[in-house]
Amino acid sequence: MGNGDRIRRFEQLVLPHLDAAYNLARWITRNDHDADDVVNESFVRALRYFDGFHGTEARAWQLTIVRNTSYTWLKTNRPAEVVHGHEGDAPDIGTQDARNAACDARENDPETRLLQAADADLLNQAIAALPLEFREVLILRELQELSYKEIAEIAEIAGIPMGTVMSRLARGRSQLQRRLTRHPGKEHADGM
Amino acid sequence: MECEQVRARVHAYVDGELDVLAAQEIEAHLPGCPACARAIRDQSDLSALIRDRAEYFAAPPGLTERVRAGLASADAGGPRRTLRSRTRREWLAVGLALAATVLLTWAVTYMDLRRVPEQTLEREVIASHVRSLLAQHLTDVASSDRHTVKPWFEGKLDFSPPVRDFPAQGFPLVGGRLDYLDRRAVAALVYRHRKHLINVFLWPATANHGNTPQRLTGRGFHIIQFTHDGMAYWVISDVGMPSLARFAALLQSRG
Repeated sequence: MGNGDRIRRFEQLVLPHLDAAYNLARWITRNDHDADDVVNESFVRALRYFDGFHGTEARAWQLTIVRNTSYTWLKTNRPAEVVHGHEGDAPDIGTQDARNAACDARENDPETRLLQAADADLLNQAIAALPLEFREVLILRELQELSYKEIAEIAEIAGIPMGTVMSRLARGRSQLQRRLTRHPGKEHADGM
Repeated sequence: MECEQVRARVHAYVDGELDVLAAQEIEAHLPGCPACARAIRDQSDLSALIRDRAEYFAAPPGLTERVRAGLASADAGGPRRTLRSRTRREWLAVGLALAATVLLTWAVTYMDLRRVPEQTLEREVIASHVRSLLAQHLTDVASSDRHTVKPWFEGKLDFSPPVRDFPAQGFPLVGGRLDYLDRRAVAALVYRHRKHLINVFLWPATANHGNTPQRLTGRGFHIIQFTHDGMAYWVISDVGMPSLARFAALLQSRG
């Protein structure tokens, strides 16, 4: 296959996922310029690995490369953001409920219901403020709509056990829920 | 199923990742347990909120051209774009080599995890779907009113397709179209979900159509095939499989 053909085939298969790639990079790096750099780098890398790709669906494959490129970029430029240590945080409320295992007949408390009219800005700030490893899984699942199987494959390459990934998804969602229901009005937001 | 087991499966249930049996056990538990029902509803609300309101960053204008230029120059062996920091280039190179090995292994395995469409009908469905998106011929009747779309098919098909609309659940009807699959004229109903288009092909089921729903993936599209009320359905889109599964469930729901 000529080089021109190879690039053309690569573009046909992979360029349709440019928005997805940018979205993931943008949510991980939280910066337009950095996301731009990461996306460019990740597509160059993908082209290099392209001969080893034999599938017909390149979305999850490209997102894996974007994810890894983003992490490499962060470790190099903003290593403080990649620090782990949130696994030891206090258990979230959901886990405690499960341990109690009592069917609580308490009535719905309107103040603890998730705000239906949540401010989009507030939501975006709350997601951006999540620790990186929670935020990443949340974006892959909710915005990129990857299946658990696809997320597991990305995690496997990163050396993360599936159980840890699922725990991060649950904790990220739980943390987000707490942020959004505890302060219904405009709140001081960190991150972003 | 006990509360503890339900709570352990809340996320998988809301994400559509549970098998049918486990999902049914949860659904049997809910009517008698307001607390678990609330837990499910809260998570479901949160997911919906993120899907609908969180920012989905679109690639800025010019990024496609920049990426293309980067690919061309990298491939020609020209000056390669590097990440801005140069201080740890050796470390990056090692990391890249390792990642490449893993990725190559994964890419070959990944191929086995996906069914490459071998059957003619799957290929036809994909081809019809792609054609409808590319050829400016998405609908023959463009209307979100099912009372306009359904009668339009009268006289054009030898069956009357059920036409439903789900705007509240995020799947509004876009219109309908005549299409041709499996050597016969079929109804194609077009729906939208966020920025994605969904084609629903349906026609009277024959003895060849099994009762077991099937999920397939090909050419970047997800496909769900099932039989319902005597009709064979092929639902195809590039939305994620969980969303498509939700939509397929809506098509099969009572109401």
